[in-house]
Amino acid sequence: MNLHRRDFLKALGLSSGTSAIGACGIDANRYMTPVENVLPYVVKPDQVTPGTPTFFATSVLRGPHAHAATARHRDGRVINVGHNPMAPGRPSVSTSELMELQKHYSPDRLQAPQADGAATTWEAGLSTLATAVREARAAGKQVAYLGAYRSGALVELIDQVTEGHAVYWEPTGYEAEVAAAEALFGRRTLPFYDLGDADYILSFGAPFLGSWGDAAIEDRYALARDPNHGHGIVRFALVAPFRDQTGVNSDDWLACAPGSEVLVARALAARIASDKGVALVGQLAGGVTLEAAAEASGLSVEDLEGLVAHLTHGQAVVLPGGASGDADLAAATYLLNLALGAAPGRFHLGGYAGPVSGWSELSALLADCKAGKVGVLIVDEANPVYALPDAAGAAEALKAVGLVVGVSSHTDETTALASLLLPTSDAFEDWGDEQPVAGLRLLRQPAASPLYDTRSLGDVLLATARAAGLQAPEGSLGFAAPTWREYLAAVWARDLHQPAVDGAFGDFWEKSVIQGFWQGDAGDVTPALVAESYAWADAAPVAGDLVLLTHAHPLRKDGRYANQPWAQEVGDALTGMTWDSWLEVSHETAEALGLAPTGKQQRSGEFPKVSVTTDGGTVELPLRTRRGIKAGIAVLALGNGHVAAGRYADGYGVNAAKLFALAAGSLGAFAWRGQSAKVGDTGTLVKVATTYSNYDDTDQGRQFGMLVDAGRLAEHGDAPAAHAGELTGIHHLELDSRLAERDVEGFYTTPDHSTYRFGMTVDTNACTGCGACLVACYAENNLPVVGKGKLAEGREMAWIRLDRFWETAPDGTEQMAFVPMMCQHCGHAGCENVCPVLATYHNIDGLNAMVYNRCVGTRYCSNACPFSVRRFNYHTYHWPEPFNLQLNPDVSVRTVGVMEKCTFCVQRIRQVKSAAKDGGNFTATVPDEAWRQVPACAEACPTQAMTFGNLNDPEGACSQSRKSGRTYEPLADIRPLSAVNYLARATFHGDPTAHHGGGHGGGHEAAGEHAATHEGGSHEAPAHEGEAHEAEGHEMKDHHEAGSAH
Amino acid sequence: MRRTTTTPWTALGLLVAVTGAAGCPDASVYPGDDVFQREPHSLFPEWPAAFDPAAKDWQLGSGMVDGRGLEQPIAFPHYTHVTLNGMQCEYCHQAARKSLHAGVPQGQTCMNCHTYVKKDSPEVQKVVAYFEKGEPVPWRKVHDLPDFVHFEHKRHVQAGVDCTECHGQMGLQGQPETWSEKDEHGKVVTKTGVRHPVVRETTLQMGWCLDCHASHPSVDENYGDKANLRRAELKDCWTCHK
Repeated sequence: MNLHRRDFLKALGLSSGTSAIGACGIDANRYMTPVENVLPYVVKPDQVTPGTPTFFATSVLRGPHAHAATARHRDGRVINVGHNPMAPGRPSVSTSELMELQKHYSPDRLQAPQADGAATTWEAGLSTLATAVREARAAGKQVAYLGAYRSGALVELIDQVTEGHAVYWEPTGYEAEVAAAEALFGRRTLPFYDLGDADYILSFGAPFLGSWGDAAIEDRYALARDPNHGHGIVRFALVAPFRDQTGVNSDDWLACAPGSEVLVARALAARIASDKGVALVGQLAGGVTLEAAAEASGLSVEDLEGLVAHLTHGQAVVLPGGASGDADLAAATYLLNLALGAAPGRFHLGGYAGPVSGWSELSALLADCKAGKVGVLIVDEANPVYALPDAAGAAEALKAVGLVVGVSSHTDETTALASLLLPTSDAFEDWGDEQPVAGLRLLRQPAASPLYDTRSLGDVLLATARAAGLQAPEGSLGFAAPTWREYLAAVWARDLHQPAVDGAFGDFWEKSVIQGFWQGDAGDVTPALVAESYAWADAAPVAGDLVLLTHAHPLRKDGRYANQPWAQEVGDALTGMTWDSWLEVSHETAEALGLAPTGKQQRSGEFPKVSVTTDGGTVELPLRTRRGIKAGIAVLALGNGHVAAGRYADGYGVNAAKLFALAAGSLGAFAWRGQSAKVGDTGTLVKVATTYSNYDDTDQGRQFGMLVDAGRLAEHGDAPAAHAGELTGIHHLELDSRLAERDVEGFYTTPDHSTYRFGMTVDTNACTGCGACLVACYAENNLPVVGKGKLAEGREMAWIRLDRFWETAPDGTEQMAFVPMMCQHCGHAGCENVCPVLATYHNIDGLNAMVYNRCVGTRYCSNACPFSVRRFNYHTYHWPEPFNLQLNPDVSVRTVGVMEKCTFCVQRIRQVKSAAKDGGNFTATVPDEAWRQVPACAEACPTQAMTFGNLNDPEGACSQSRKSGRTYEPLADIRPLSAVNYLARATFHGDPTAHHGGGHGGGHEAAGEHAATHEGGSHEAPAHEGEAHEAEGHEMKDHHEAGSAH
Repeated sequence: MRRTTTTPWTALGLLVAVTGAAGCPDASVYPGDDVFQREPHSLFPEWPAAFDPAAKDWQLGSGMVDGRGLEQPIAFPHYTHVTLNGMQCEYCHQAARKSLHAGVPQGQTCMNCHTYVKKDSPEVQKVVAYFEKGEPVPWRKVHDLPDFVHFEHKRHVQAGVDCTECHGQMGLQGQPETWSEKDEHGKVVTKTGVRHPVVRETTLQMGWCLDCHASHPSVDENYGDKANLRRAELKDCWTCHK
């Protein structure tokens, strides 16, 4: 008898099973499988074909961050978000858009109306609201609205319903910038910064690479940072007490005293205005001298002279401050931009013009609440109870309101105090429009049916207004529109539709819905000064031995995404820490406090638990040292420490906001001014779940992260590899010769790829560490969230690891290189040779394939992988409902015992190939342009640092990009023949003004102070500052090895 | 990945599990902070829920063909539609040429004809009832590939693979039959009608797929001198395993 192996195993399995399960009633001699149902549509919508994604043009985010996006709809649900290729703006998505996607499926969503904690009906809820509104009006009380930033038609409706008592406030919003624009230019609008043409960026801390500014600002930065865009690489200088995720991308960091930024900006503006003869600007800036600014900020006059030289040399743009920057700082940066002549080209008033309320308006509203003047308060995704220091009394104010109505899709600390909850449809279920920059309107359309019994906020307001008998102002659209969609269409018909150009409104509307945007004339955006004087507030730097500063977390933002598991699970860009809050200080500050972690603690991921005390209170949290923080500064991010925001937010970390004093900054704008703090040791260690445990944050000389001198690059261009010898980096790019050796036959035969050899080039010069690639990978590839405990055990499942490497330049400056590390799809892969069951193999397209069904879980491949990018399923995870609805049906959900790793999104590769054959041409090779953004990470990257393509096409973008002189292949000496190549990060070092011909040296003294902080000072800064270019890479390499041996 | 396809392995594993080789202890440094619910850590996590006959509705797994099919909510006769009335497959399975799924017809498609045709048939009245209630007909899936398989109808149909090559002679299925069975009182009764509406005639196993991938004439027709390359692609695990 000829018995095959499989048949034998089957027979063995069945006969063994018989004894165990025969009694259960199953026919154990047959291999059974559960029956599934096929549920057809009753009436199928025209746009939807089961099994084929449909893309709906929409805008997921609101207000200033709104961006033309597409929702990927598959079989009745939205499974991913992408960019809208038809619309202007950046061709990528942001972490926030992906967080909104996960928020859409959050198990903590409000599913039905609630009154006083009990379920109610929409009819009853709306009737309660309408009655309260009618009574409030009759009693002469306000019907007020408190929400996050909103723009477009909704604002008009809100303002009419509330008769102008509407406050749009966000804790790390733009009120300082808007207040300053009003004071100087007479317009409440955000400036627009065009970085694309700039060759010098001076920032005072604005986190514009991830959390700040309009949606395309990172795209324009990436353009200016591209060595091949025509005029060199933009140099990025930062004047701030610490470097956040945006700040570590800077070339020059001038660590100033907290609160002194405004004096620096004013001094620079005054000096440049007087040099250039811009009298009005000089007059407004007031006579602050460089010397005075230097004294206040702790910088040297030479540093500031160096900045002046840079700013005046070329096309400079100045960006305002971060979370702690107040309106004076914003005003000073505007003046500096005007003095530099950046207006109206690189700096103009074409930014967000929607309502941005200031602290003065919010505090007035809270005071009105407390005084009993507010009858109804509608709360729409604003969370002042969480976000404001307790002294603001937001909770008490809400309790004094007649009726607080929560109209968000989720509950939080503020809506927990609401007596009526009317759950609204979110951005994937609702109509709407946004106006993120002048001349651009984005139209939002529902991409799926509402998951729950929710209604549009517009419909709620219209229904309330009608039921309460409100009178709309003369000439307005009124409240007659039966639905919010019709109201929105009426606004578009009134404001945007031009019959002469667009034809009938129906056609115009249909076209707008399909393409998702309307573009028109931006109007006059020239920043014309209307002010003749400016009342500068007293800008004393914050006193204290230790000053606590804060910023919005790059993923959790001001706390609004804290309940999204992805925002908690994806490691912080600078520390890799997850699911927690932690205090960041420099190593020397920790030593001064007697809290410097020992090497053993660092290796085991245990951190000293400290107590932080300010006037606002005391919290206990782990202490992490890192570079990029001035001595005497402690940094604690906002966004965690919720108490009523949902199961993934509550109890994780601490709420930094409660440590800050309630002090309105200049022009009545709220700013997170530094707080004098005391840090005490609790004497205990705490384990923090960290995604990446290389605590010293260096690659220890292994050349995973590479820096080259951007100044030399500017002279020579991004030369092809043949000329790479001319580039002198901090490390020599000696890998070029090894890349040339790739064709030499080694022990293994070089694999043959006849049609496609897929590869990716990652430009670490463009990578800003924002984490969008990681989040997009979680969304696309059904990666489970393992949680804090399992993450601490090393059970992380992310397919991309965002490596971060600090490099110390010869002149002592410290530069960060972010290296997103995913499966390298090696031509000679270590993993493939050791798999005993051929579950992983090199496929015909050059992909390192992983077949989950074959995998028996030996984990040999993970041991053999030199890049440590494989992940093992130690558990079977279940997606809590309704997170499971977001699962990508094109990707298997893995179970316990299976190895997994990056697949280059093979499901998308399949789709592209299959779509190319749909026309009937079966043999054509898909052209390279179609591949460029195919993997989810490459699609998400806001700076387009990732270029995917077919390496068999020598003219393709991916092949061309790696001809750069900056190309390197990590661990090239073991000849993995990686499909992923990296381009070295280009940073300016050495004499900061050499490439701009003139000026003084400087700008590095402050940074140099910190060069010795890492690993107890084992990496001393080399002394030869003036000889930066002569420093040999080999020396540096040896130096690093010596350092890591320590 | 659905566990059920590894049932023989699972069954084999039970013996291992009950002899004491179940998983290691599942200690967490942060007890109770699970985000996504984790299954108990054992080698065979879904045991015994996946095998609980009461919890699920079972059919014969791929690789075996018994000619019985499944009972369906409506005794739909392909024979009547295809063979007697000459309807094309793609009239109802509209997406077969353009999507991953061929698509089970929407209620509206049935009503296109049955608003006028055979309105008095009891089976048609069931269709009308579902349609009027606005409910989908809960068809039970007979040709069911495991969830880890990526299968595109459109690639096969566009390449010129005939529906019958995988689905068998659907046009002959659902012919009226007369048979005897016991009713609820144990009495033997004779019945007439459509006894097996849809039956799987092929195994749908991996080896069966690969046989065709290696030898189907459409590869030569469509790919010409690149046919061997295409056959190599069709052998690649990642062509079908997702």
